[in-house]
Formats: sequence, C-alpha cells, structure tokens
Amino acid sequence: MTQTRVALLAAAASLWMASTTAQQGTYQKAAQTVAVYATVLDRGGRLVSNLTKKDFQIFDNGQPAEITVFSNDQQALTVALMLDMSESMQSRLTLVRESTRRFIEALLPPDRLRIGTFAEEIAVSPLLTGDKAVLNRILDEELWPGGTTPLWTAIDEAMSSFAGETSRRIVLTLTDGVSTAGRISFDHVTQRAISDVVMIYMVGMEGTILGPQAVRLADDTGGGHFEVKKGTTLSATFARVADELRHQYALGFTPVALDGQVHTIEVRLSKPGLTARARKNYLAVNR
Amino acid sequence: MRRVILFIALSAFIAGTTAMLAGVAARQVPATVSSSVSVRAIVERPDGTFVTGLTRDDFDVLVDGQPQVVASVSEVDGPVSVLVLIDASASMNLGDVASHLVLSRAMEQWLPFSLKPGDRARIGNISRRGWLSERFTSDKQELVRFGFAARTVAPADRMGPSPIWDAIDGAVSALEWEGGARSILIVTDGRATGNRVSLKEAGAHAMASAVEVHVIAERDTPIAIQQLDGSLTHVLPGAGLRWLAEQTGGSYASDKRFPWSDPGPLFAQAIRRLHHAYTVGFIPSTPDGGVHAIEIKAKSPGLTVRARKQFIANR
Repeated sequence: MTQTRVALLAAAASLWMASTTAQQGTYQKAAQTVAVYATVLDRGGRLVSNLTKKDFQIFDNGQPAEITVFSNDQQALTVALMLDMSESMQSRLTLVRESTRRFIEALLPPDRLRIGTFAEEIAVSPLLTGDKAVLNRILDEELWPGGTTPLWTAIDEAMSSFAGETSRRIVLTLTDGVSTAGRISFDHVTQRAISDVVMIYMVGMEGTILGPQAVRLADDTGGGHFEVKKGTTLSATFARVADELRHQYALGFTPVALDGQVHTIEVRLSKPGLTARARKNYLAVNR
Repeated sequence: MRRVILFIALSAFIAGTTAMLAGVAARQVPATVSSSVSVRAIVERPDGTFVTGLTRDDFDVLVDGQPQVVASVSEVDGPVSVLVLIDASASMNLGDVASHLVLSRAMEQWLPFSLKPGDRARIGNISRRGWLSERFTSDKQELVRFGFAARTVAPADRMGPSPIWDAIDGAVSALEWEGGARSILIVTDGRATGNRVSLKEAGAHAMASAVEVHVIAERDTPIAIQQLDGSLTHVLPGAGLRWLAEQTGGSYASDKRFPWSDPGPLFAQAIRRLHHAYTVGFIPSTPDGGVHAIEIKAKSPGLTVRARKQFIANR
C-alpha cells in the first residue's frame, strides 16, 4: 500500500515537470496532487524518521490542505552531484575525489548518481547510474581543475540533465564560493527549481561561507545547506546529506486552486520540539 | 617550403579526379581470410624520418608475449581515410582571433594539401552538441567548408562538456565503412568530460576496428598541485591521449597553447605517417576468436614501431 502511495506521489511529482500533452493525459487525475518531501529534525538536529501522517499538517497559501499521500519509507536517491573545480578548489582536488568516492561506495542498489563539474567548462555526465564502476571511472577521468565559478549556470545544467526523469530529483552542489561567471542568474535558477520541483542541497567547503543566495535556494526548494567545519569531514557531510535524503517523508496534497500563481507551502508538525524542512513554494498550474 | 607543398598539392588536386577514382577502386575491405592477421606498422627513426625497405626478417611479432612466425611484410601507400576531430570546447582557448587564425590555416591549407589523391577525409568537432560533416570526401574545397563549419561553434556550446572519448568512439564507427588505412586525427587538450564511454572502451573499439588515433595535443603541460594535506596531486591531461595513440598504433605530438602553437606542420606529419606504413602479416598460434595483446618490434635498435597493441584472433 505504501509503495502504491509512493508511486502515486512520484507520478504526481512527474506531472509538475511534465511538458508533453501525452503526459498530461496520463496523469490527469494525479495532477491534483502536489508532492512535498519533508526532512524532520529534533532539537539536537537529529533526523526523525518514525512519524505518521497524523503528525503532519500542510498549509497551502496559509490554508490547511488535506494530505492525500504519505510515506515514510526509505527513499532512493536520484542525485546530480555538481563539483566545483574552480581555481580556488585546486588544493582540495584529492579531498573532493576521495570524499565523492566514499559517497559512491555508500550508494544503495536503487540509488542513481550523476557526476558533474563546473569551472572553465560545465560538464554534466550523461550517465545517471548506480553502477559504481562507471561512477568511479568518471571520477578518475573527468575532474579538471581551473577556471571560474559559474555556480547558477551549473545548477541550471544539472536540472536540465533531469529532463524526463520522474523520481525525486536532487542537485547536490559542492562549492567554496559564490557564483562568479555564467549566463544564468540566481532568480532564474530559483524559479526553475520551484517550477521543476528539484531539491537543491549546497555544501560549502571548510574555510568558506555559503552566500545568502545559496542558502536561500536550498531553503526555498526544501533542500539543505551544510558547511564543512573543522572537526568534520566532507565525507561525513556527504553521508549526512545521503542519510537525510533517504529519510525524508513523502507527502502529497490537493491544491486549493490551480490559478497559475506561486503558492506558499508550510509543513507543520503536531509534536513539539520538531521542525520540518520542505519546499516553500509551488507553481499552481495544471500541466 | 609552404609554396612547394602548395604546388605539389595543387598538382595532385588537378590530377585528383582520376587518381581518386583509382584509389577508391583500390580500397580493400580488411582481409577476411579465416585466421590470418594483418597489422599496420609505421617504422620511424629517432628523428622522425620513416624507415623503408624492411622485410619480414626485420620484424619480431609477439602475441601475448609469445613469438609468432611473420608470414609477410609489405610497404603500403594506398589511399587513406582520416576523420579529423577538433576540440572546440572553452578550455581549448579558441575564442580569440589569433587562435582562430592558426587553426584556420591548419584546417584550410595544411590538412587538405597534405592529403594525397584518393585520400578521403571527414571533419567533426567536440563540443556540447558535437558536429560531424555529412560524408568523407576527397574534394579539397568541400574539406575547407567542413573545416569552417567544425570551427563555427556557438559560445554556449563551447562551455562544456568535452566528450572526447565519445567523439573518438563515434569516429571509429563512422570509419568502419571506409576501406584502406583508417585513422582519426584529433586536436584537443585532453580534458575529457561528459563521456558515455570510457577511455579504455574507446581505445578497445579503435583497436578492434584497426583505426589509428593520431593526436595533436594543445598545451600538454603536466601540473602538480599541492593539496591541503601537503601532498602533491598531478593533473595530466595528455596521459589518456598518449595511451590511446600508443595502443592504436597512432602518434602523439604536443604543441604550445593556442595561439602560440601552429598545428599545421603536425597535421602534415600525421598524414605523412599514414602513407608510410608496412602491413605485417602473421597467423596467430591461438585462433580462438578472442582479444590478444600484440607487440611488433623492429630488430634494428633505435627504431620506433607504431602498431596497435591488440587484435582479434579470428577462428
């Protein structure tokens, strides 16, 4: 039963990014469901993964919405991992490669990963795969340091690489700075992430601070932002992100109106001391 | 010197039509005799000049490390097919006028006029979308046109990825219908990204199809970068290309960063190599249909033999 619900949610999620008439027809009924993935943390910042449907409330533009889909099953990962290879990251090349290798090793059978890099060029692998040998091959053959930081363009390219993908989509970005180049603006990336229902996670390297725009993008899309601090490792941060993604709650609700406007979403919890992180907006259109 | 080349090339071009037809007729599909294997080998002295007049007594052939009986050796100078790939990605620094000019000269003068009558070429680029001319041709005007198209890439398409291995893999497939000697001539900095196939897969495909990969590498400068933990990591963009050239019996030449390099003479040298080869024939001792390692050596010391490093021992 739960699997059926997850499938329905996935179908609903796909609808919000669907672009063809054929897809509209197929998911006409599911069109009425908005997918929301929520991460729940306790006061200590630990993940809470044993809640039930009655523990959640969703507000659509401030109005309570009925939760029509719920699952707390472990979720498979569909991640585009974008690695900053700009000049300032050169001294961390080995660290990035080896931390990513450990991230790859920790993938579970249903997980799929795509590796991308950004610096002088933006290169997103065409391969979205769980094949660890292939991913390690990309890691060994395709990391070339040097150049600027086209952060927003890189995230935009990563989202483009998900075209036709119907599962929960995540862009996990590792960077040590702010966007310094590229043809895509922050506003464009934010709008697209909301419209395409892509979750953005940002990881800032030790000694750097993620810019306010990067933090906002992560918050608005229901993702997360982490800074690798002294005493923690990049591997541990990647592991934390993976753990968080696996234990998100999959929720769905029926929108109050398909008015073509951006609606606010708020996820509240009935149990005290817990906080939910989820995307804050959705575009209310019938696609 | 350039005028001499131009004159020779123009003379060849005038006589080209008849010779081209003769050349096409002379093309041979690779031998299908059950178990015999023919491998092209280019023999060079340390100064890069070609060694001619060798016989089967001058070669050693090892398969999986075991000596084989050399059945035949002959010099071949038939028409060749070459697929030229230009890496047009941002890291190649082709955006400025000077760089554009040196590559233009290489593509519009050195390449077409280095080809002999009957040779056929096709041109493609490595960029976000990739591009390949619609056909192989011996028509020099058409080659100039194809070369221009290969260099005309929208700025957004230069911004990556650079699927070099995919491009080589696709080029090998495109060459499979061509007879005679088949080669890829690639101009790149080796910074491969966004590939569906690996370097090894592309190399294996080229070797299985007897396609040589000749590389003109831009700014092949190894970089040692100190890491946070004090260790050094080495970035070697040319390493994969060197391996590919060596494994397929091709060649590797590096030049400075554009526009301080002039790849034209390197184009000419690579194409000369295609016309100065031997065919070394032998019957493998294990005709099992499998892939085997092969090493062809010249008995005289100091000579370099360029030949592919794997073959399929047909049953």
